[in-house]
Amino acid sequence: MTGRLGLTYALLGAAALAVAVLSLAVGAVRVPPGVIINTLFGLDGPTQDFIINASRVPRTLLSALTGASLALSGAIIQAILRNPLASPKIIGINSGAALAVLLAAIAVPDLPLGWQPLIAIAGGIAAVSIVYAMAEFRPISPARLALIGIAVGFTCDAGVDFILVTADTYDISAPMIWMTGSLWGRGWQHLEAVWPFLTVLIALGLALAFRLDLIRLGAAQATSLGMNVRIERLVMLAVATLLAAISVSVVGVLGFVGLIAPHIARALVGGASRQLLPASLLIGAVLVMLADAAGRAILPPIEVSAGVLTALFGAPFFIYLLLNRPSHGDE
Amino acid sequence: MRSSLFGLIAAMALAVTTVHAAEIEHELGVTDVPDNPERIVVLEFSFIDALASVGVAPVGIADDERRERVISAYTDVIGDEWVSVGTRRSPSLEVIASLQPDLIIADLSRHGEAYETLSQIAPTIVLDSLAGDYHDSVEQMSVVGAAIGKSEEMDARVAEHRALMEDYVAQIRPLSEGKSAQFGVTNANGLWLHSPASYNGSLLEMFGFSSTMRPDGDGGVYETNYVPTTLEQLSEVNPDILIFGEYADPSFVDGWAGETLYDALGAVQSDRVFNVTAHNWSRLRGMLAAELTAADLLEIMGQLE
Repeated sequence: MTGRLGLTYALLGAAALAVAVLSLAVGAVRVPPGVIINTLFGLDGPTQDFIINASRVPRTLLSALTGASLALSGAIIQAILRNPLASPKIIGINSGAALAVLLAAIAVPDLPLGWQPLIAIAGGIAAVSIVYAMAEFRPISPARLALIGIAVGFTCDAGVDFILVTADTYDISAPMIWMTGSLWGRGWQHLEAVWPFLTVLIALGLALAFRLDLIRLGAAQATSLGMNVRIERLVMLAVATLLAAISVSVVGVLGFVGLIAPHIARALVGGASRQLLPASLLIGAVLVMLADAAGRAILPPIEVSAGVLTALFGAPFFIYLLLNRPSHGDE
Repeated sequence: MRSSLFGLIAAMALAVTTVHAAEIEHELGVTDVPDNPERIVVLEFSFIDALASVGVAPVGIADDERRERVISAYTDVIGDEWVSVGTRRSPSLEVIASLQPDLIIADLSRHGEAYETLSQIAPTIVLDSLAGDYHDSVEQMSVVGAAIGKSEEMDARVAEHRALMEDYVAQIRPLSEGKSAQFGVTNANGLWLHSPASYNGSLLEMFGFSSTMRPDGDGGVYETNYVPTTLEQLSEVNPDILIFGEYADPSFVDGWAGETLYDALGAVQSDRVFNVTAHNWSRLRGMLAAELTAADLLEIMGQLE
């Protein structure tokens, strides 16, 4: 079994590496491999400094990092809610972030552009806080948390739709692209702004993996095993929320990754969180890197949003897995 | 002593070389643009208008991958050698970089977010084309003129434009007196009226037309430039003259023919509904575009007689 797991991880790692190389190699402009190598390693000969060093490298790193974060967030949320349908979206993060960004765009059109990510993070956290506060009224149950999350999400979505149909196209033209989930125009400055936080949160999420396995047994079981379910659940929810909100703030609403990456991982390595989390992370990174690379390459010079393509690549594979899995519960 | 003298000379030499760059003030700051940039990439149609008006051809255009969107009035001047850099909404930064531009002209609402990244490719100036009105658009011409080192030519062209427009105003105003006119674009799915705050709204106002659209915000401001409008809302606006730009055939508005509410519109009753080229009126937003619009309007007024 360990051997098989090792092989799976080796394959996942190889896939991530291969997709990263692909992401550096493809785009609207064809750059010969020799030029890419010259540019990357500072060798003599023709180079393409902006395209490789200022665009493809940071975009590849950023898509890997945010894909990993969103997938990890989804895996944690699915465990906390004990629900395979759960994802960052289900507890209101995406909708809260989108509403906050659009509200800011129409209320303060002159707001400096650097504020948008902070507003998105604040919106995501605010939505989850509302969800959590309401779910806490009575002894918390995963189902109630999810249902309240959906309700709050729909309320935010109503606000988003209202703004989309009433606001000026020019006030919301930048937020619109962001809402589809896109790495267009992203560079080192975006990566620098998020990597320290996301790396720490990823480490924290992985460290908490075995506690998640206790939570998945159910609150009563976990308590009897000496766990303070309420506190630990809150901590894990906070980690998952921050992972998703920070990712969404910089690359937009890549909604589907958080749902499907953990499922793909589950089919490959099984349901134990200490396996599921690292595998989800790698799969999330692969999915978003692949989507971003394809988005740059399939219709040049038109850029197709990564958010569109994660669903396009992920969904069929997701369905395939569901159809081919023995139907004994959710694990 | 000697070394500080060297330093002084070096500093002066440096000052001489940097003096060539023009400091251009734009929406997002001040950019040093090299003298007489030759490889220019533009990311909105009104910037093509600006370049064409002084006979400069861009190397790259965000033309939405539809070259026909750059109208013949422009291609007559700039030729058709440009490289498409993708959509105006999210142009390909790789393609822009591959053109090795020495100046990029971007739009505030569409590309403001990418200003920093664009600036890594080439000196970038950001102007407010999408959200601006006609008067803003003419002012931006001078900024572009200064950025491309053709201030004098641009000033002359702007003066010529203003004179031409005054001429149109003199011809149209007597005919437009006391009349309201409304422009809107219609595709297969809807109608969008262009409010007095929009490019076309401000043009119609200049030609002496009043507007029957009511401000929707506090203090009599129009909250949006482009207002989605139903037949019922249109019958409330009910202007004397209706001008439609159709992006689809048949358009959404065509489907209203025969409806009681539509037939009761003042403009329909008095046969004052006109069709113009939607693309020219609605998307171009430049100086030449304004002249085309004015010529269309004059023709429309001729048909009223």
